[in-house]
Amino acid sequence: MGFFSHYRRLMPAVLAAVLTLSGCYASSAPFPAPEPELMVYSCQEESVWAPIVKEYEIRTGMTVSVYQGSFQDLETRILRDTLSREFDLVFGADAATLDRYEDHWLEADPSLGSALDPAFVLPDRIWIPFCSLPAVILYNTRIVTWREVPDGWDSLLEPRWKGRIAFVDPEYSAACAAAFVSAVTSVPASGNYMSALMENLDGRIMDTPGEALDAVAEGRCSIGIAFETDAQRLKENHSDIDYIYPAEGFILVPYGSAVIKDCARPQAAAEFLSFSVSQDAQRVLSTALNRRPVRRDVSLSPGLSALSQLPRRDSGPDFYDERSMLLAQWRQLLSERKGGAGL
Amino acid sequence: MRWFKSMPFKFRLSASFLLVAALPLLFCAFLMARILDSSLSHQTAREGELQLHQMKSRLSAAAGDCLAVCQSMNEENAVALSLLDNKTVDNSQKDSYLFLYQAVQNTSGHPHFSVYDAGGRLRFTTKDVHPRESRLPLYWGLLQMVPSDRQLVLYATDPYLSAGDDILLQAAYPLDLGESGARTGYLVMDFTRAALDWIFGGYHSDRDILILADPRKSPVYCSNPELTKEEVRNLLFSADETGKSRAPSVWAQEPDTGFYLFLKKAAPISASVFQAMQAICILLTLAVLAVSLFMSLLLSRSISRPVSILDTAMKKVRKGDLSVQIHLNRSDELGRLGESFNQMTARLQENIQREVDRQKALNETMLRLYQTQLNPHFLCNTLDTIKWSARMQNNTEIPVLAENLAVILRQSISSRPFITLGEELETIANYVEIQKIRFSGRFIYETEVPDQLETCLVPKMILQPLVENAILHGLEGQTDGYICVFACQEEYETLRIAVTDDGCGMSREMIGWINSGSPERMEGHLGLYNVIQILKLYYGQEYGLHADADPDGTTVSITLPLERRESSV
Repeated sequence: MGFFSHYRRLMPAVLAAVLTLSGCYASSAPFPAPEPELMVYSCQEESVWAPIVKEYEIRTGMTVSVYQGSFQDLETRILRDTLSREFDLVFGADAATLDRYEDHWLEADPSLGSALDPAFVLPDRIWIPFCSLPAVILYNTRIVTWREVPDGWDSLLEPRWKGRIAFVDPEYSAACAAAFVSAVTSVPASGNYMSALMENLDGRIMDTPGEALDAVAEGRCSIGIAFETDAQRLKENHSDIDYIYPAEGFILVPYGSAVIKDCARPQAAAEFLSFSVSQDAQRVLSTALNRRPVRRDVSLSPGLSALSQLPRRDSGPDFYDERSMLLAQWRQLLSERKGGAGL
Repeated sequence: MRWFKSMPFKFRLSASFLLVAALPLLFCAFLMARILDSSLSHQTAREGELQLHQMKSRLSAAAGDCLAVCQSMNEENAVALSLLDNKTVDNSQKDSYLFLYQAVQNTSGHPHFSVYDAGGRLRFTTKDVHPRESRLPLYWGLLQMVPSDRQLVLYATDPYLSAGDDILLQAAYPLDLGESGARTGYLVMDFTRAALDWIFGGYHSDRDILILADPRKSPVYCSNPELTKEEVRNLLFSADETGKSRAPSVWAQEPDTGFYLFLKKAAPISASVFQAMQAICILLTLAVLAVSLFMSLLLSRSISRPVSILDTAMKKVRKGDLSVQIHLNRSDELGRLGESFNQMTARLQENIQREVDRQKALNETMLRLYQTQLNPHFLCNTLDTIKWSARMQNNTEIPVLAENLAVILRQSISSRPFITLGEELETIANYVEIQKIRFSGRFIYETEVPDQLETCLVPKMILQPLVENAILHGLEGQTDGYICVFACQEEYETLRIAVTDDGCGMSREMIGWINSGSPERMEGHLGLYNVIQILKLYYGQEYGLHADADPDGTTVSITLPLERRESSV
């Protein structure tokens, strides 16, 4: 035992050395990840922000890191006061959230607003609009006769459409929420409309706008709620699709961007924001990304009408609270229905 | 380690066996697997570097081919002119298409060639056209990147803007007219997945993963189409960071295009093979464990069992049992140990027996010596001489004294250590006759011995000291004393012979001395002492002398085993 006690302390070190050396794998240096020079929080889908970010990176040589989240998540981060530590720019957030928390943004370059459609630029706004998504009612012409063509939000309550409505969860995005609020507030006694709508949906609620589009295009639903640019694109590709703007009007809540106050890279954020509303970016938005641009000097996609010709309703100063309240009621109705159905 | 030392021997032996057999095997198997994997990884990495170099060359060659074709096309001016000339459509179209189709064949990967005019409108193409592909924006994407000088631009297509889902990479080259360099259009090459597979195929195995990334390090192409975009990004940026990946990876940047090539080699030992190796190692280890456990139990049993037997035998020896013998039926050291133990106990037993015998012989010798002290031989003859001399002188008392004394002496010097009680009583009678003459009839002597007890064997001259003591001490000062010798059979075949006198009674001190069991030798009482010794030596501690006394007299009893003389004598 004297021999072992003398070398006992060395044995673990020898063992560790042998195991380490024997386990050395061959590999070159790891592929270096690009170091982000701008951190962006995007409320837009990847199909919208990815081409713009890519073009910006190619033109400037900068590396932009994008985190995609929802308007609810954005609000949570704002309330926790973590946004400025993690991001430099909020991109494509809905106007209601941007207005609600305008104290968290830096004032944008006023000159940027000069080229924008005045409908989106308000004197007291410090953020810059990016795009808009008017809501429309889509229908399949092969299974909806000309007599049955819906004309507004009220049409969604018609018994003939029970279980045949492609309706997107209003909490999916701010635009969906705006469409939902547009529908609910289009008639008095919004609580009755919501219950009646829930009843007429017959438990059929789509998770994404894409699902709603496919459901109407494929005839699984007769009518549905969509956004005009998506509907126009679908109409161009399918001869059996058409859409109408709701007669009661739609609340147009534009999407915008803002430089976050106290962020690490305000200059880089401002440059990207400026690029997002540049003519080039707005043209791509219009021609390829299914969004209505905000610049006056960018033409709309063929088939779209000017904003002034559309039945647009103002959102009002209390839109944010109204939206929150209506969404809460909707959630309550949904949970009651699911509980009653044993789900 | 104390706990280990305190474990039973067979458990320590089993644990040591397991340690020696299983641990080295496990360690060696583990080490071998790691060394094998590591050496294979090194080899794979070197192979990967070579492949990567080749694929870099391929990419460079493909870009070179594109550039060469574009330059050739530009120099020909045919296509550029056709973009300007809308009137002679047929011939220029034909020439342009011929050129384009030829270019497809001459370019690595056989990309589709398309010609766009200066406004971004599609004029000629070798592929099926989607309506949306009829234009490319000049202000965005590929055509926006085309520089003013005649350089080839590579561009990773944007999945959200590209109508052709299969086109992963595009190249563009400006079509200029003449030396003035007036831009007439653009030559665009579309590389589909199939084209890139063709370019890089054959330079890596199917199990390897090749990723082509643009200068922004954004993945453009992955040789495994089943991986999602997220998985490709994770593969690109997290390989080997944690050290958990067993598959080596190499990467390099192609200097001409700025694109990155990342090659993730397949693990030299696939996960299934590695798991199989692990399973085999575990099974082998379990088998070795089982065998070593079995062998250790066998061996420990073969060692501990005889040790245990020996230990049990030693315990019996400690308790005094020397007759224990162990039988190990072995011929090794333990067998010899057992044999030695048996011999040792046998010899011990012999030695002890010998000692007992010697002591017994010594005691017999001592007895004989004691008897010799009481019965001097030479007096016998002298007494005979005195008797006849006295008779010749007509003396009547001296002959009686001498004759009785001679009888006593003859009895005492005879070689028989045991005589019958009857013979002993006769000797006592002779003694009493002598004492009566000496003490002139001052006492009466009687015996009360049943006839059947007279044939019992007693040590010779055993009663004489008692009678003498009764006469000399018991009847001291008396003129008409009484002495009786009484014998009876008691329980357990015990013979009791008592000598009673009605004298003054023995002192308490003397009674205590007699009844003490092992009295000290006392001067003046040598006879009683010898009687006690003789009885103890012959018959043991449970027999001997006992005295009772009161003012009316004293009784001294002898107890001994009742043994009768054989009737054949």
